[in-house]
Amino acid sequence: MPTQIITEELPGAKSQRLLDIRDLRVAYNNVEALHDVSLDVMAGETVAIVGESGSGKSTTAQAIISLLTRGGKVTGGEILFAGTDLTTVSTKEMRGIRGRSIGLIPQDPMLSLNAVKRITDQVSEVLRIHTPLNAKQRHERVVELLADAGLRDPEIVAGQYPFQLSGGMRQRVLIASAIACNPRLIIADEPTSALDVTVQRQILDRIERVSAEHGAAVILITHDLGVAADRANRIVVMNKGEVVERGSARQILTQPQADYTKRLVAAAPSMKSLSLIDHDEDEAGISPPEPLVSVQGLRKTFQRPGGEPLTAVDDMSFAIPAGKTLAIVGESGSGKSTTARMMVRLEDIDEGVIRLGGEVISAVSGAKLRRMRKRFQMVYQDPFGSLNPRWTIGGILEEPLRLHNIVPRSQRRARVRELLELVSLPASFEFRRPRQLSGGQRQRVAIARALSVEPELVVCDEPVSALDVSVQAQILELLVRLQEERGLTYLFISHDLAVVRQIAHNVIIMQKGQVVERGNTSEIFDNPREEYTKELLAAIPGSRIEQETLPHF
Amino acid sequence: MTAVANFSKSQSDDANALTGRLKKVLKTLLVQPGLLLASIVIVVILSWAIVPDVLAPYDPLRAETQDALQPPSLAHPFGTDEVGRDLFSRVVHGTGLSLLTTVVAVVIGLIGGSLLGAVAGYVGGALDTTIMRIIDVLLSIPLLLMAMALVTAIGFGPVQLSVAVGIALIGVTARVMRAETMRVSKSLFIDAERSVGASTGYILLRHILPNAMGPVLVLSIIEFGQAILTIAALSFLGFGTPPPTPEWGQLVASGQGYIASSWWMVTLPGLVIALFVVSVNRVAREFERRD
Repeated sequence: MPTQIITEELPGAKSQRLLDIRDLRVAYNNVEALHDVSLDVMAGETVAIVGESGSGKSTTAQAIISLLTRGGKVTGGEILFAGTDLTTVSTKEMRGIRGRSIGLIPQDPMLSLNAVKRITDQVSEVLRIHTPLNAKQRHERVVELLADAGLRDPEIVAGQYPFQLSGGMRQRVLIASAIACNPRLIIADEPTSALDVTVQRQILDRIERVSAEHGAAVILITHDLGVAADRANRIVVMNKGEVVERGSARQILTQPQADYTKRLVAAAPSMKSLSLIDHDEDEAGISPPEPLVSVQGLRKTFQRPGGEPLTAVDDMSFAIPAGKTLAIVGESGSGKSTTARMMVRLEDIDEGVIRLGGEVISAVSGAKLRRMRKRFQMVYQDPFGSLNPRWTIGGILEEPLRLHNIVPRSQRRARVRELLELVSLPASFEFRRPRQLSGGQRQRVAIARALSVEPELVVCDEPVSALDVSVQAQILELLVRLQEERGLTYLFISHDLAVVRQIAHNVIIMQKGQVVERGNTSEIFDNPREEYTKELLAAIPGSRIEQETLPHF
Repeated sequence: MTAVANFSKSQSDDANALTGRLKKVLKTLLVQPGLLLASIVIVVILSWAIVPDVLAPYDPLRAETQDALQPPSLAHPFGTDEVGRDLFSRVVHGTGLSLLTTVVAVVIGLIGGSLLGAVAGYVGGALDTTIMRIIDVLLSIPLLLMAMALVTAIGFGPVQLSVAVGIALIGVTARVMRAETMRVSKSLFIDAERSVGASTGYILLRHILPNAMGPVLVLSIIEFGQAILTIAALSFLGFGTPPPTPEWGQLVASGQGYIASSWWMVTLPGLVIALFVVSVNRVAREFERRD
């Protein structure tokens, strides 16, 4: 199936070099963050810069448009854009280039729009600065641009405020601003990382289309190798402020040369063919007669201020056999997180019965519920928010032991160390505080805390979606190892089908509070029955390149 | 063994962090002369409160009638009052009582306001509404008027004055504390605590209060200046310490009869109060900016 990724390395003779970065160095407060970064972009092509957090990919983008955050400075090298060195132009000249010749699509559509201005005013601001159009012409152009960016009813959207739009719509508005002056280069800085997969695909399709229509080159900054592989002609892999490897998308994915790239390719969930768990016994049908967890008719309705009530979870039923993983997959608003919170009794249950090991846990309250809580624990999505910043790791891990009086006081310290060892953290972490830990390390602490009370059920609410891919892989492996060693039962909530494929025995697909499809993992992935499931599967980044270059697995 | 080593290491880290912080404080002071000046004023006045006997040249109660109503001079930097007492010594000796009354008032406001605010913010619902409407009523009455009404009800004297001003200060603190508590309660780690099985009171005390205290403490420093003014004003009006015990507000009050002939009796103690309040506010703003 021929798509745009078949374009092999272009030798520069045919196309014109639009952007040429040579030996760029950037330092923040005299600490060098970019070391001799060189890369080039031909007119009209898409180059992806791939890397994990701290790799310098965003710093590179910021340096191009001279918008480094406070304390940042270009200390060496040059950035040639259409022949002009952007490191030497004045602030005023740079303002003329930004927005007109180089458009930026920022990362977070929720934060990047002014909340008190109408969409038309925000988009026309670029036109007001860079073009001689009058107010009426600008408005007309904005409507055109919004239509170009793929918004239905652009006339209506133009008159709305950001809060009236969904995340995907806001990102389209930002695309409209970025292309307003027909820039020759569009920098898209993680344009879809805050969006659902199906929306992500639409947005990336749209960026691809508008850049083709306008003949603009695109620098796509992403942490997702799958996204890069699908969308870019060439990929530049960065790590710790250096370019590790560069080449065509196909080269990088099929014959990575650098060790780091190999690790990245291996860790990318969307690229990974192997499941981390053993499915055999499932197929043989040896499931225990009584499942550990059984849920019947779970329902939750939220009263919206000034609107009709919203049914977040509608008549949800499922069972999880002991020692297995059930994944609930859905996009934002599907009710998957509400289900998770009801399972650990953080959210009140409107209707329905939850049984754990035969005992009803949905009807208890007060002190009895507090005592019962040690049987079901949760690992949260955001490892930065789920630990009290003022406590030491030792204190955080010791607390549940104390509250439930699980081990005598004299042995608690030793138990804390055992817990740290269990999640492969050094014992010295006992004295650290959360801010001294990386995201992956914090998530390990959160897992250790959940396991400290020896629960039967662990509910994982998007436990890896805030982490870098290579760290994601480690955390998933940890969860699987703990399941094997301790016979844990997981309810795994995720929007990421690629992750779910690696660790779930059974999968439930949810949409708008209802179950769309359920089955064991291989059934869902190999023979999806429902249209929505197929759509979700097709939207997994990396699927284009997978079909084309990688042998079937 | 390693545990001990690690522990002492973390302690020496703390020590390093402390000297680092000290350096940072000094640097901040040097680039902001206004802040430096304010800090010096505060240090000097605090030392008056702590060791008045060392810093005051004369006995504040001893009257030398032949030296009555002397203008400021080298011998009497603030001049003397109508019975010949050294005014500077009286200001220095009055500092302790004035500051103590203020500190007690601010602490009452801080504790009362924090508790009410935290409970209202965390429990929410009808209790929140009830507490906050009462606080709204408290806030609608001007601080001075409120304190005056309270002190009239509970009686005159320095302790009563502290209590009255303290109660009048509860409102603002409670509002800020409620907002902070609501912010912290929404944090994920509070959910984590609940799901671990911690009780409401425990979560409030051990997890929410420590994380919500920052802005409230800064607010208290800002309130400190206001409290000094209020207490001085009430003392001026005669609700506080009876003469001849020196106290800032009362010193200003006793000078008012001589304002036409002996300007220093009102002006100089008044200037000290003003200078101190301005300095405290300057330092408080700095804390607020950094919080």
